[in-house]
This record gives sequence, structure tokens and C-alpha cells, in this order.
Amino acid sequence: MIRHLFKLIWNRRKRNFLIMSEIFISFIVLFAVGGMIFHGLNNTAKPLGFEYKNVWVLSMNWKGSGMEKSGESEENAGVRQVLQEMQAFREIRNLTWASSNIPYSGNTWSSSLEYNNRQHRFHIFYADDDFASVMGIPLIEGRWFNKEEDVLKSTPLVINRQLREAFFGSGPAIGQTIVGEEKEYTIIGVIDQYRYKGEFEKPYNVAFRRNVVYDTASTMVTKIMFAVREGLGVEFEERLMKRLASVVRDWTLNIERLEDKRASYFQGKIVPIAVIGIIAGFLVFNVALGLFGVLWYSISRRRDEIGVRRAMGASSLDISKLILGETVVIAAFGIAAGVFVAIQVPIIGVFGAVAEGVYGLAALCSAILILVIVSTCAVYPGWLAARIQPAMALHSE
Amino acid sequence: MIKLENVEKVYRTSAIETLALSDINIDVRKGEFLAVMGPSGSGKSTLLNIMGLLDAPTEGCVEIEGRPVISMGDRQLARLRNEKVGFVFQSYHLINDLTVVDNVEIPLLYRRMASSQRRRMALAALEKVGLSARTKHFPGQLSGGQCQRVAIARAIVGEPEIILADEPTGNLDSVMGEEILKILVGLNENEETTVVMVTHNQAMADRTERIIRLFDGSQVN
Amino acid sequence: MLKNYIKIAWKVLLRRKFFTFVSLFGISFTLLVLMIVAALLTHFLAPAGPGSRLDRSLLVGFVEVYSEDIHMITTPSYYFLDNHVRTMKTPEMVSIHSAPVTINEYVRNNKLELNLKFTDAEFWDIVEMDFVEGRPYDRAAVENATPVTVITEKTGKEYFGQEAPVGKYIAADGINYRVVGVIANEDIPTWEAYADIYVPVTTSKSDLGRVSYYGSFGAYVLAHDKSDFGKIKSELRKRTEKLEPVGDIEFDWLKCYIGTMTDYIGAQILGGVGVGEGFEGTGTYLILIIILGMILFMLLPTINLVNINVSRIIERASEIGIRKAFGASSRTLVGQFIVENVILTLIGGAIGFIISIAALEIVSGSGIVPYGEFTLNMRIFLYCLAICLFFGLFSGVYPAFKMSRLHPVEALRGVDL
Repeated sequence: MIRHLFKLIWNRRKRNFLIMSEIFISFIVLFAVGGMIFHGLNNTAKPLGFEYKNVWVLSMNWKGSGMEKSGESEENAGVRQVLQEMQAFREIRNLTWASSNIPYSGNTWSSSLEYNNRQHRFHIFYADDDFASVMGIPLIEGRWFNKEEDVLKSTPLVINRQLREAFFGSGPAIGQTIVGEEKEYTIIGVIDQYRYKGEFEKPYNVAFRRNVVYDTASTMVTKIMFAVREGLGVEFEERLMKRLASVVRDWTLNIERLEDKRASYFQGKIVPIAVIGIIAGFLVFNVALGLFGVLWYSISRRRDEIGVRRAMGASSLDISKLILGETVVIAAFGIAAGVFVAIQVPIIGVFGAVAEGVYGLAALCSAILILVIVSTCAVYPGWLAARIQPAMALHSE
Repeated sequence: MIKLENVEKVYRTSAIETLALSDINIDVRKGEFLAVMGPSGSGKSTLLNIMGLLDAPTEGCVEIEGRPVISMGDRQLARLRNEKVGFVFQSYHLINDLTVVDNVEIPLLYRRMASSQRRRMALAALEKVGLSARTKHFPGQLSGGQCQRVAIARAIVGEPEIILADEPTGNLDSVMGEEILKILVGLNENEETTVVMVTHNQAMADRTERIIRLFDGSQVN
Repeated sequence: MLKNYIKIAWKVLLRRKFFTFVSLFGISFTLLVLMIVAALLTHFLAPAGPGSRLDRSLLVGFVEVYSEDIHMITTPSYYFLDNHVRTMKTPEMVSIHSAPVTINEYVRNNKLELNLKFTDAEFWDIVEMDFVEGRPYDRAAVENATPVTVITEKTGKEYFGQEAPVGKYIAADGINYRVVGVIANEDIPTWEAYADIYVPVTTSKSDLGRVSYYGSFGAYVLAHDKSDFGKIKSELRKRTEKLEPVGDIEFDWLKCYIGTMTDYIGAQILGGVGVGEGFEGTGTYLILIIILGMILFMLLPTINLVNINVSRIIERASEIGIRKAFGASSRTLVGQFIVENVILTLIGGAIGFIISIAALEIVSGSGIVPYGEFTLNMRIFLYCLAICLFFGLFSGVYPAFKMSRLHPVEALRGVDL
């Protein structure tokens, strides 16, 4: 029977071509949307590695801020003063300075190191001794930076699990030294993850380098991250700002909450997906309506054929099955073409590196969804066809 | 073989009621060649549909091989049509998108059977009607006589016990019509297939064993 | 004849209500999406209405420096723009403004996050905006660093509620500014000129005189006429190609990029400008990408419409046969069918138009897009009318062609297309 269906559809390929191409495009649309959604879900399900609740960020801007200057400067004194003022607030539990690539900021810095003749790229952060406790980053091996490093000859690094595996595999990591072009680095700790780019991004390699504001005399410090007590409102924020603004009068300051930054990051990611999803949904609904109409009217055109089949011994169930089967096979052709195009995507790597499973899952779900929609569209026409009285159909001329 | 007792058929629409058949009593015996004659509108096709289990009578009883069909469901009826009955129509009713051999295979699709066996049986049926050379053609590429021979091959491929032919020569010229009749007669004589043929043509009817005449839905003798 | 066509078309559409519904749904939905996209695009991609001063302005948006060690594309400094762009001979006028700075202000226990922009007085001459109240600050105010400000209607509401803001003071970034003008919400610019609060550039805390080529400023260059764009570009190239490094960063060469607003937006969206390529022409590239996207989006509804039309014609094959048998020529039948389709698409277009007005109201009201007050103007309406007709003709032509080739005898027999 399947063979018969294929024959019928193949011989009617010209007429079915439009439907097949509609299914094909619908599949591509659903696949793209599904890929996006599954990619997002797949990544949001993984641990973020840090705490965003009750962590605030102070950004400082002054004349020429962001430019590296060496040596002690007026700005360094300013930063230290700001830090001191902030430590005096009871509401602030803990604070740390950070390089400008803070979570959800969109700023990224990357670097690479060679080890055992293999080059590894990673995202690099400058952090001081309190960074891990402010950000709530737990260590899974070794320890975070502390004062001991002051006397250490090589530069201490804390890396994430992924980079640890890239460098050392299952071998020991703590205490290992990596010789860079200018400096020598020692691994002192391993964290699980620090996905500062946000939940929708695939996990990546991360390394922290110790840099302490009171002894580096670097003016690169423009951000201070601080953990605050639960439930602080605008009132505290205003008080804090007034105090700090009176210390560094000609600087521009601004405070953001990591939680707000995360919310707007989420909005920025979800709104486009939702809009595209709604549009895709309407497109597919449009196609479903069209398909339904075409199938419906094709039944009246095929009365003759249906009458013959009935006379030759097809039961009304067989007729329903024929209509449904035909539609599903046509859809399968469209899907097959779509899958062929879809498997090119990971090969070409259009969307960069994406977990392999995501593509398969997106393709599978799109295919199933289309088959369900198509079958639903065929149910009523199939029922109509089954109700055709053979005696009437054959003698209608 | 097929027995009709007091069969009556009424077509109802909301406006009118048409009596298509009334008080029909026919007993088609196994192996006979029966002709049904009558002017158009006399109910010949309705009679054939009822005999072929395509339509149910409004009143009366239809028995096939001694079993009444009134209580049978759609699936049972379909199975009986498939196994016992072969149809030939005036306008052939071939499926234009399928090749000759695929058309002939249709009745076998509704039986459990290996596809190679289907193909073998279809080719054998086409051989019987002398169309072995045209199996891969589409109906559109054939003449009317050839189409009707395909339709006959399709009717006999399932080895039915009875063939119901509704004016099989109606659309054909006399030479082709004669060929078709010869095939039907041959089937009746050589394979003992029962044939019921509706026809207009007295000459054709005369070559059958028995004639039933219909007028305005009733039997006349 | 046409009247007759329309009469028949109307009857046919009523007879097959389901097909008519499917077609109308497809057309109006497609138009809805296209109109909203068009409204957003004109809002974001064409901040300069035709004939405006902004439309005959170019933007100096980036400088690029290159050496063995460093490759940097960044925004220019005030020093650079003041010394090398403002002094140009070919333009009618040059205006320098800063990139917006985010500041926090606390008003009645509410936190406002505001974008503060430092501009000169010429800014207001080039970016012509409608003021609901007051007027922009003038050259004297900029020269004397008078603490005056122009704010948007929205910002005014956040600071003062229902009261009129002009004459009142607002604290922004530690300075008390007197409000002199309020910009109408629907006139607030996008991209480069966007901000919530505008103040004289001389009140900036940053060091305007710092000798460096890189900073966070941009400049509008107003041409006497659009045909002068070439002259302006070559003058700027001549003035900047020989620049020697100053201040902090050594380089082999420096390039300064100037382009239209659309090019600038193209560069912002597409990003990734290659070494030495600049952003000239990226606007055209972006528009091409958008048009391609629109065509791809329209592909599915169009195929759907063609498919339905083919079904409709098959259904009417015997009617067509009879008409042909009674002497109707193929041309009249094709005409009939196309008229039918155009009427259908126009009705769909009208529905889509009404829905999109409603949808844009909702989008504007929702505040998803800051200052997104979208209106459908005549230009968009005409585009959409054109799209409608394209839909109607395109989806009707193929089936009509099939129909015209139908042989009357076959048509009478109800043969498949």
C-alpha cells in the first residue's frame, strides 16, 4: 500500500509540487525557530556559576577613564577613596573591583596560552581577592586568590572546569605552571563556571588573573561590584550615590543592579525569539489553512477514483487511510528536502558552534509538528472522502 | 449466487421521492450469463449497484451465496466486493495517474498479499485481455477499447465469481464492442465466471443465456 | 466590462467562503507583518525624512588606526573633530556631540536612568526637532557654558509630573541645569542623536581639549546640497590622511570615516567592518538584506495563495469550459481571474491596514521600544498598496496562465490541471 501511495504521489508530482514546497519552507522555518529555542533552553539549563541577586555595580567615568596609565595617579587615589567610603556602609557586605567585562555587559576580553604545544583560547578577567565571595563563585579545586600571592613570583590563575580539562585533561591542575610569552602563570584554583555573557550563550573557557587595585596603580579600574543586604531600595542607592559623588566631585557615577541587567538581557533575547516565533506560527497556520482548503476541494475532484476504489473492495476506512497516507507522504517528501538542507547547517556552521543534539532535536520536533499539523488538516477531508457513496460517485455523469 | 427478493429502491430528497426499483425478484445462478435490458432511467444501473453491494435496497432482501447482506457492516461488504465481485463500467473509470498495470492491481491492494504476487496476477490478467504490450502506458495513451480491456482485466484480477458490467460497450464502436463481448463470453465459458451485463443493444443481449427487462423500475417479462 | 468583472468576482468570492477566508487571512497577516516592519524600519533606519537637513548631512562616526601592534576602530575625540572637521571648507555647517552617558538621578524615591548628551548649538540646527515648549540653547549659552538643558517630553514627565518643565531646574550628573526646551515625544531621534537630556558640550566633565584622536564624540556635517557629499568626503580624506600620531598611541595610518545616516546604522547593525574598509555603502547592503528577508518572508504566503488559486481554478474548470464553448476568449477569462485576485488582495490589504494601525497603537503604547511612537505615513501605505497588487498579480498569473491553456473539451470533462 505504501508503495502504491508513493506511485500515486510520484505520478502526481507536478500537482503536489506546490504543497511539497510549502511543507519544505515550513519545515525550514520551524527548524530555524526550534533551533533557536532549543539552543536557548539547552544553555539556560546549565548552571550560571555566579550569583546575580543583590549584587550591584558602580561605574565610574572621569576624564580619560578607560585609558591605561602607569604609575600612581590622582585617579588611583580616587578609586581607593571610593572603596573606603563604600566599606563604611553597613548595607554593603562585600566589595571588589572588576575589569569592565562584567556580567551581562556585552564586553568581552579574550586571551590565549600555549601548553603542551596546544593553544587554548579563553575569556580573561582581572579580579582581586574578594571577587569570588562577592560574586558567589564556589571553588571546586584549590582556592581563590589571597594575600599569599603578594610574595609569589609567578602570576596566579583561577580557571574554570572546561579550561582545566582542555589544559590538563584528568591530570592534576593545582600548582601547574604555564609559561606565557611575558609571564609565568600558576594555577591555584578551579571553579565550575562563570558564564558572564549570560544564560543563552554556550559555556566557554574562563580564566581569572589576580590584580589588586591598591598595589597595581592602574587606572583601568572603572567598575566596582558589591554584594548588598537583601531588600535594599532606591533610598539606599540615593544615599550611597550622594556620598560617593561628594568624594569624587567631577566624576560621573552610575549604579546598576545585576538583577536588572539580567532582566534586560533576558528581554533582549526573548523578545526577538517570541516575535519570530509568533510570525513563524502564523506562517505555519496560514499554510495549514491553505493545505486544508486544497485537500478539501481535491476530494470533490477525486470522487470518481474514490468510487472505483470502493467498488473494488476498499472500505470507507481504507479511503480515509488513503487520503491521510497520501498527505503524510507528500509532507514527508517536503520534510526530507528540508532535512537535507538542515543537515548542511551544522556542516557549514552558519550559526557558529552549537551543541550537536540541538540540531537533531530541532529537526525531529519540526518534522513531528509538521506531520501532526498535516494529519490534522487531512482528517476532515479524509472523513468526507470516506462518506462518498460509491453508487453516486460512479454514476454522477 | 446472488438472490434479490422483493427489492425496492426509493431515492429521497427533501423535495421529491423517486421510485427507482420496485418488486424485483432475481436469482442469478452460478455460471450463467445474464443480460439486463431497458430504456434509460429504467433502473438498470441501480439494480447493478444493488447486486454489486454498492448500494442497499430500501426494502427487500439481498442474499449472496445464501447469506443475507442486510446485517453486514461496511468492512464486510467491502471484503465481499473485493473477493466475489468484479465491476466493469461504461466509462471505464480508470485512474489516470496510474499505469495500466497499477490500475489492474487496485483490487489486490485491499488484500494481504506480497507485491510481487500482485504484479504477477495483474500481468496475467492483462495477458488474458490481450494487453501484455501496454502495461506501462497511462490510460490517456490508450484507445477506448483498450481502456475497457484494462477495466476488464482489473475486474478479473481478483478472480471474482461474478462480473457486473454496466454497458461495457456503450462508449465503443461495434468492432471494439464485439471484442469486449467476446472476452466476457470467453470468461463465462472457459472460467465459469458468472456475468451480469447491462446493455441497450438487443443483438448483444441475444447472445446471453437469459434476459431481464426493466421498465420504470419494474421487471417485465 | 470591468463592472461586469467586478460583479462576477464578488459573487465568486462569496460562493467559496472558505477559500476566500484563507486568502484574506494570508494576505492581511502578511501585510500586517510587512507594515509593522516598514514602520519600525522608517523609525529606525530613516531618521532623516526626505528634504530635512539631516538628510543632507553626513556623520563622522569612526576613526580607525592601524599598526603592527594595534588595530582599533573607535569614536573620535572632541579635539580631533574640533581641529580637523569643524574647520572644513566644503560643508555648510558642522556640529559636534558626545556619545550618550548613562547617569542615575533620584527623583521622589524613584530612580531614573537617563542618557545624557553633550552637544553644541549647531546640533539643533541640523537635527531639526519639534519643541512642545521652549526652544533650544543658542551659541552664546554653549560658549559661556551656561547650565541650560533641552529634555524630552518623557523625561519632563518623569521629573515634574504634569507641571510644565521650562524654567525649572533639574540635577543631572552633579550640575543643576535650567530647562529651556522640551522635545515632542514623537520627534525624538533614534541612533546617533538619541538622548533623554541634552546639555551644552562645554558643561561636560570630560577634558575637551585633551590631545588625542580617540574619544566619545561624533560630528554631523551638513552639506549645501546632497551632491556635495563627494566633495566633503574627499576634503576630509585629504585633511586626515597625513595626520601624525599625537598623545598616547603610535600608528602607521589613520582613517576617518564619514557616511550617511543609513550607512552609519548599517555599520552599527552589521558590525564587523574589515581593516581599512570603512562603512560607506553598508547602508545599501543592510537595505538589500532587509529586502531579501522580506521576499523570503513573503514566499510562503505567496505559494499558499498560488496553491489555493490553482484549486479554485480546477474547481471551476467546467465553468471555464462552458464559457469557452460559448465563445469567451482566453484573454477575457484571464482578465476575469486576475480582477478577482486583485479585488481579493485589495480587500485583504484593507483588513491588514486596519489591523496594523491597531497593532502599531499597541506596540507604541507598550513601551517595548523607548520613544517608539509609530505612525503609518503615506509612504508606507503606498508601499503596501504596491505589495498588495504584486501579491494579487503574482499569485493570479500562474493559475490564470494554466487556465488559458485549458482546452474547452478537457475543461468540460473536468480534467486535472
